[in-house]
Amino acid sequence: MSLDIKNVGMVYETESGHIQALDQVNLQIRDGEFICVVGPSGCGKSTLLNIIAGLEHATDGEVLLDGQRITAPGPDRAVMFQEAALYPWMRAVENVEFGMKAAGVPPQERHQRAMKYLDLVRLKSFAQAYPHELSGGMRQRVALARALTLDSKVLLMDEPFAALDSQTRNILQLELQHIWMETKKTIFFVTHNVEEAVMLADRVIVFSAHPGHVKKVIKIELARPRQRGSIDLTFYVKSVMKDLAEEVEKVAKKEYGDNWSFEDDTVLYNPDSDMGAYL
Amino acid sequence: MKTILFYIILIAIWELIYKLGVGVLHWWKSYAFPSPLSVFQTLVSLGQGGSLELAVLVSMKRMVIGYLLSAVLGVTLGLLVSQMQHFGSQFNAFILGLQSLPSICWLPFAVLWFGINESSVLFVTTIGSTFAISLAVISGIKNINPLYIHAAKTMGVQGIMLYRDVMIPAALPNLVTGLKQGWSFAWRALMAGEMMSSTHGLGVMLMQGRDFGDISQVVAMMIIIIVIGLAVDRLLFGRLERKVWRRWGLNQH
Ligand SMILES: Nc1ncnc2c1ncn2[C@@H]1O[C@H](COP(=O)(O)OP(=O)(O)O)[C@@H](O)[C@H]1O
Ligand SMILES: [Mg+2]
Repeated sequence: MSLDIKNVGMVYETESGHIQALDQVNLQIRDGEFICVVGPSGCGKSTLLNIIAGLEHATDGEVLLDGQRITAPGPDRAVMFQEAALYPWMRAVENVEFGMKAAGVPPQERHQRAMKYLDLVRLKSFAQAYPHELSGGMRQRVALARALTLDSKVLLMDEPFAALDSQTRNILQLELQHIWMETKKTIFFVTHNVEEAVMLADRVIVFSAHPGHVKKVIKIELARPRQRGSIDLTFYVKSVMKDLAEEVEKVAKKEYGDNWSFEDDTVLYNPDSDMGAYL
Repeated sequence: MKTILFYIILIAIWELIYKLGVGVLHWWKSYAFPSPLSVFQTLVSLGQGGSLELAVLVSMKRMVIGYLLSAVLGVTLGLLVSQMQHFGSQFNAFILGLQSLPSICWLPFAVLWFGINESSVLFVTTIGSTFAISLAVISGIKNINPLYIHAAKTMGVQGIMLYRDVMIPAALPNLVTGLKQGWSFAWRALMAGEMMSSTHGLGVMLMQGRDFGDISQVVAMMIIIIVIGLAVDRLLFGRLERKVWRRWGLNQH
């Protein structure tokens, strides 16, 4: 597996004019790598992820998966969204099976595999439940199981834990680390939470805003599983925060006017702060 | 329990109005305003004579055929329009226009095409609910959470499977509501059609009441028409609707 993002640019044409969401984004992602893209909200993270997914088309540049240009969505790139996107009329297990159904896996086998992945996300006993009977965290775990069954080359995750309460998020971050170590999947993970990015990633890609652009790439060389609040982790979080502070301020100024600013310290003292979430 | 009490009170008020309006104040002649008792007696005698059962059967048969036809046509038309790349919104507005036309206005057409017979009544019934159902399908499809479709596409779901397994189920709550609404439109259309151009059925019996100057029969038929309409709406469609909405995790109903 190799994922090559080459000079990707994206301009949205809206009634109020052009919006340059991405400009000259270049990234190479290796097999089995865990990449986290972090940046203030509105900086184009989702746009980039959707382009890789094939749900949107770059207006400039291209994305190559194993040398093949991406033009449409497909099961070789599983996607997890901020909302679980489970089908409410299907039971949990049917939701997990659905992707395999599309791939033509026979019923017996897909049921077995679905149960295996539900077990992996520790939801086997909820296989028969409907999505609205599950909590937000459980729904995301079902969505993760569904994404894993596709056996995709890369797993794209767009702020999958952002809507969850912090305890649930911590648990899922740990689970995701374990699952990644077990499955050795290539993961492209978008977040605005710096600690989450540092905790999960091999490399953190810091995005700048207006237009979205790779500002800095930071290698995280820490053993796994990583624990919240460890000293090494905090060190990395602070350093990423520093890179991001400027960007967050830039976005804030754009949205609240030029005289808006905050003390540098407020960012540094709050490593769990969601960059941009309070904007 | 409350329901029963409600109807007892309603009938009591009716009786009171009858006593006052016909007996004491002479607002109405007795042939222009029936008492609850005379309506009840009419119902019993029509029932014993078998003509009521026959009329109910005839009307229900028309209803089932006409309605099923309209469901098939309405869903098909709705799906077609929501598929359209061009002129979709124009078609939508056009269907909205047709929907606002009372379906009895189609009767002259129907009679010219089919003659005064079963088909023309069926035609009026069918056309009475087809457009309502189409509109429900169109808005149901339009309001599908785009995330459902995005997720499906990223899983490699496309073509017929996308329609069958994602879009139609996603639109189902709206569709069921539309089918329910369509039923009551069809029911009204059928009664109008029967009153204007038919020889059997509940609408015909209502008109017979008028022709024979039997106001009790008119009211008796009105009650039967209301009861059937309400029963099907509540027991069949209401239940189905609640079940679907609940299963889909929606709480608006
Ligand atoms: N469909 C769209 N039409 C117009 N502008 C869009 C669209 N999607 C995103 N944008 C704009 O592109 C920029 C990046 O958005 P997005 O990728 O969603 O940011 P992020 O995911 O980092 O919060 C934003 O300024 C947003 O307003
Ligand atoms: Mg986003």
